Amino acid sequence: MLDTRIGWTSDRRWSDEARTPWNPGAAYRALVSGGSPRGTAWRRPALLAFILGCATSAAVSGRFTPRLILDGAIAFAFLPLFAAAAFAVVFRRRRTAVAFGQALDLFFIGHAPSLLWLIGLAALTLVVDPRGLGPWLVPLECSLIAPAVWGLWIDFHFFREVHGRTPREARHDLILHRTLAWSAATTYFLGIAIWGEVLPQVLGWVHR
Amino acid sequence: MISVRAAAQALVAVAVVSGAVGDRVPARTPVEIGGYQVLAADFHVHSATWSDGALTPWGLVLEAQRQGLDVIAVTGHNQVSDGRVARWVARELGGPLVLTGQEILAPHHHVIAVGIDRVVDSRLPVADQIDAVHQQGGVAIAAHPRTTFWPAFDSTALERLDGAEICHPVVYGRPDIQRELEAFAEKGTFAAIGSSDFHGLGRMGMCRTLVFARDGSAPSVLEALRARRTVVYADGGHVFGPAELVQKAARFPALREASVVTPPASPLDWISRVTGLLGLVGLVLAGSGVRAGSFSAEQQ
Repeated sequence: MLDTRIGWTSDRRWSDEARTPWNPGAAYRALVSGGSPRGTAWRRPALLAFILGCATSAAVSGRFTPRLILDGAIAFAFLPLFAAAAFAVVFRRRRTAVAFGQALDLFFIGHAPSLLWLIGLAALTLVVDPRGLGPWLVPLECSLIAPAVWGLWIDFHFFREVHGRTPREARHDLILHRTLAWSAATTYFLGIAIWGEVLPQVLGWVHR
Repeated sequence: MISVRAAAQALVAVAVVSGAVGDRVPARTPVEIGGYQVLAADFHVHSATWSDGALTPWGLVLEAQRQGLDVIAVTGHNQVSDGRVARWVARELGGPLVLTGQEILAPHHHVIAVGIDRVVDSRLPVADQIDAVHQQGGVAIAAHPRTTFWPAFDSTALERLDGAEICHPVVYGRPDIQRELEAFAEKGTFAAIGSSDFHGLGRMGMCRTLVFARDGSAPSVLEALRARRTVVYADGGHVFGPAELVQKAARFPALREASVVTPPASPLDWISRVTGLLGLVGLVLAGSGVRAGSFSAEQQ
């Protein structure tokens, strides 16, 4: 049910991913006091990998097949891995009362907007003819800004409430995490092309 | 009472099972025309390994089988390692034929190198890149040669180029881009190439090349490309290639259909789609079903 004073519902019929993004500060305050069962650190990263696999399967074949879900999950496993590794670096910088496993579990709630974006991507690729997807590419890339910014807002509150950081420290942790995770993911995903194509284009825009 | 989360898990399970049942390698009849085997090929495919694709190299091989392709070239962005992995997997699985390739990415042009084993330096002038491809026994194809790429291809490069993409997913719904690719093709005598530039969005082979090869081996496919024995069915009813081969291929409507028509979704596919989407939304949004009672700010 919704507590109107803080705008957060404790109704467990909704998942943490559904409840947290709307008022992450209040949600994280409540969640950190509740604790997490042991051995749950991998659950949310695994959910992210699974949904990445499902979106891949939908985009590639127009159906959800175990072969493509597994392949997509493996192909994009670098995203949860780099996010978790970068989080580990940030986690070790300062003392925190929360155990690493619980902190990681709670941190991955911040991926909720990305999960919904991925499901939206899957829905689009399932209803639009594959030959008609070309014009959607740029709008899709632009729409990635929404989950990215929303995730920043959620994670800022995560560092404030779960790690007990000041606003300034939380901003620093957030910047460090994103710098590490996103630069590693971009370098891996775009790979050698970054030097051959992407960098010259960026430099071209800068010198224009 | 069944919780929403359990129902969501059941829906995802139904989606995956129905998807698995529909996920089959299509039965195909080999086509021979004028003493040549007609092979369906996609010479521009990317993996998720350093080339911003969506599938692993071995995933590409399995997907190529499902899309009815006889030949693919895995063209890493300025690297060939994922192509080597895919080629090894295909040999172990018994097909399709995988050619190791590279998409040579330079700031002002892209060239597809097919049938090479070593990386071609993207900093070389385009004519020298093509020479480097030929020295390795490969063929060089202009990748999506839109007008912005044209200045890079001087007369020497155009003379040495083996093929040019004339069907590419960017042309769908964009006749102006189709005309650009056709205008480039008129600059030389190139093999007509249809490629999906597969990164994961859309279907592998949704633009494809019909190769008239002496047999299904790599040297035969490369020889056919050098000899310009290819036919491509493109958007808007266009067909490209030597007139004699186009006429002969017209007697096999299935070749055209496989090139330009996306197979419609079966009832099983729709079950997989609807249950899958509902299940995934449920998985993300549904909790344990336990009503934990009111949480108030005073409890902090």
